[in-house]
Amino acid sequence: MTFRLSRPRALAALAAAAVVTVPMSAFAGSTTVPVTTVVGGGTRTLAVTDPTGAAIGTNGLPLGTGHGGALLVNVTDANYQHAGYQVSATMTNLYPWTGTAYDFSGVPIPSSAISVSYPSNLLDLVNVASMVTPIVNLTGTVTVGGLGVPTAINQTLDGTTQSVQTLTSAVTQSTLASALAQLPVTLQTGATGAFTDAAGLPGEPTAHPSPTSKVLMSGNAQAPLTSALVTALNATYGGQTAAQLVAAGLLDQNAVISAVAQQLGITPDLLSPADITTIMTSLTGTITGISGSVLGQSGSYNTLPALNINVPSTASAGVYRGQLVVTLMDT
Amino acid sequence: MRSRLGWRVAVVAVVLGTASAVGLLPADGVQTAEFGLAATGARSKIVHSATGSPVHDSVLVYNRTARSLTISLDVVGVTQKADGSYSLGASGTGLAAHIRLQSRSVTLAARGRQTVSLTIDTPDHLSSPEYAAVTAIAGPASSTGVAVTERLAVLVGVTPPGAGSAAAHTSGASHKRTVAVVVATILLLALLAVLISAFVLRRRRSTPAAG
Repeated sequence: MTFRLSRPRALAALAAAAVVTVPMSAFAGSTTVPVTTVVGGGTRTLAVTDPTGAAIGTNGLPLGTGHGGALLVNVTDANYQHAGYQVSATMTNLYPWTGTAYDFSGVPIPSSAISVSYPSNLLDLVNVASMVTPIVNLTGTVTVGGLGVPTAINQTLDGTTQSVQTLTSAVTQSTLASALAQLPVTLQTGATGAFTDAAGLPGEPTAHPSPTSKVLMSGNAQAPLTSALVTALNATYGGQTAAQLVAAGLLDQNAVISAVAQQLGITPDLLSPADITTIMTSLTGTITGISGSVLGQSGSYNTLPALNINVPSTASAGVYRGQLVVTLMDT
Repeated sequence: MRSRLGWRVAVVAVVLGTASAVGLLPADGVQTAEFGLAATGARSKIVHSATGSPVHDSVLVYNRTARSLTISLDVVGVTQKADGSYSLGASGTGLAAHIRLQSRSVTLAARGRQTVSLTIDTPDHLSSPEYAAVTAIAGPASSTGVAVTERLAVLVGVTPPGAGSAAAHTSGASHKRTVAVVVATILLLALLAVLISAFVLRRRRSTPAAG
C-alpha cells in the first residue's frame, strides 16, 4: 500500500490541520504558570409544575371552587455565572371557550378577578453552592537533588475553580435570614395581589398595552462570607498532600513544581522525577482564602404561588379559559 | 492501490475544525426543559448606549429535546420599577417598538440551535435607560383550564450616551465575534465541499470507463 500526499492533498491537509491547530496554539506556550480554570457551560433552568413537581397536564391549572390553583415555580442553577434573575407572571382575561376556540365576542372574566398569593409561605433554596477560586498554602520540608539540605517550603498558589457548598440543609423561609450571609444569591419573595391589567391572548382583538406583571420570585448577587467558604474547603481538602490536591483537581502540578522550584532558586527542569515525587508527597495544603469574587453558583430555588379567582356575579355559566405566562429573565 | 488516507484525514480534520468553530457559540443562558434562549457573546443581557444609529446584535435559541421544536420569538416593552425589578409589558411597546427581530419563529431540529439577529434603532438622546426583552416560547399551550406557559426572556437595555454599563458588552466586539464565527464556519464548510468534490472527481477518474 502506498501512501503519498499529492500537492493538492498536502495543501488541503495543511489547511485542515491549521484549522484544528490554530485554536489549540493558545495553550501551547503555557508551562509552569499557575492556572486558574474558569468553569463554563453553566445553565439556569425554569420549571413550572403542579405542587408535587409533576408537569401541568392538558387540564391546565383549574381555578374556582374546590381548586387551589397552586403551582410550583423552580429555578435551578448549575454552575451558572450570573446571579440576578426574576421570575414574573402575566395573566390574560378568561374568555368563554366554545370547545375549539376562545369566544372573544363573549364577556370575559377580567384578569383583575384573578390574584396571586402564597398561602403556604413556601420559599426554599436547596443545594446552594458557590463557584470560587481557593488560595492554597503549601507547606512542608523537602530535600531534592544535589542540594542535600532539607528546605522548608511555604508557597501560596491559586487553585482551580471549585463549587463549594457551605449549607448542607435546605434554606427555608424561616432560616433564610440566618443563612443569607452564606448564599451567593439572595432570594426575594414574590408580589401578591390581582392582575389588574390583562395580557393579550393570541388572536385577541383587544389590545393590552400594559399588562400587570407580578414577580413570583427573584434573586440578586451577593458575596457570601469568605470564612464559611474557606471552612468548607478545608473540611474537604485541608491537610491533603500536593499529590492528593492535584488528583482532586484543586491544584495544577505544574504550578506546584514551579512555585517550589522558585523558592529553591532553580528552574523546574532541574528537578528529577524523584524530586517531583518528593515534592508532591511531602507538601500539604491549607486553604487560606478566596481569590477574587464568586464566579457563579449552583442551587435550586422554589416558591409556591397560588392563583385565586373571584368570579364576578354577572359572569355567565360556562367554561372559561385564559393563559398564565411565567417568564424567567436574567437581571 | 493508492491510499486515500490523506484525503480522509483532511476531511475529518476539517469537520472537526468546523465543529470547533461552531462550538465557539455561547451555550450559557436561561432555559426550560425544552429550549433555551441566550444573548450571544456569553452575556446575560444586551445593553447598548444610545448613539442614534442602528445597533446590530443577536440572540441564540436552542432546542434541548430530541425532536423538532418551533420557538416563537417576540420583543416586549419592559419597565424598571422603583424596587429594581422589571415589569414585562406588551409586544412592541416602548423600546420594543424600536427593535427588529430577524425572525419571529424558528424551527429547530433535535438539539439544534440558531442565532437570530436583531437590530436596535437607538435614539439620539436619552435621559434615562430604556428596556425591552426578547422573549421565546415553545408554541402556544393548550388546556381546558388556565394554560400555563413557560417563557424565557433576555433583557435588552439602551442607556444614555456615556452612561456605560459594566454588564454591557460592546456592540462592536460582540457583533464582530459573531461575524467572525459565521465567516469562519462558512469558509470551513466551503473547504469541506471542495475536498469532497475533489475526492469524488478523483474516484471517477480512477474508475475504468465502462465498455
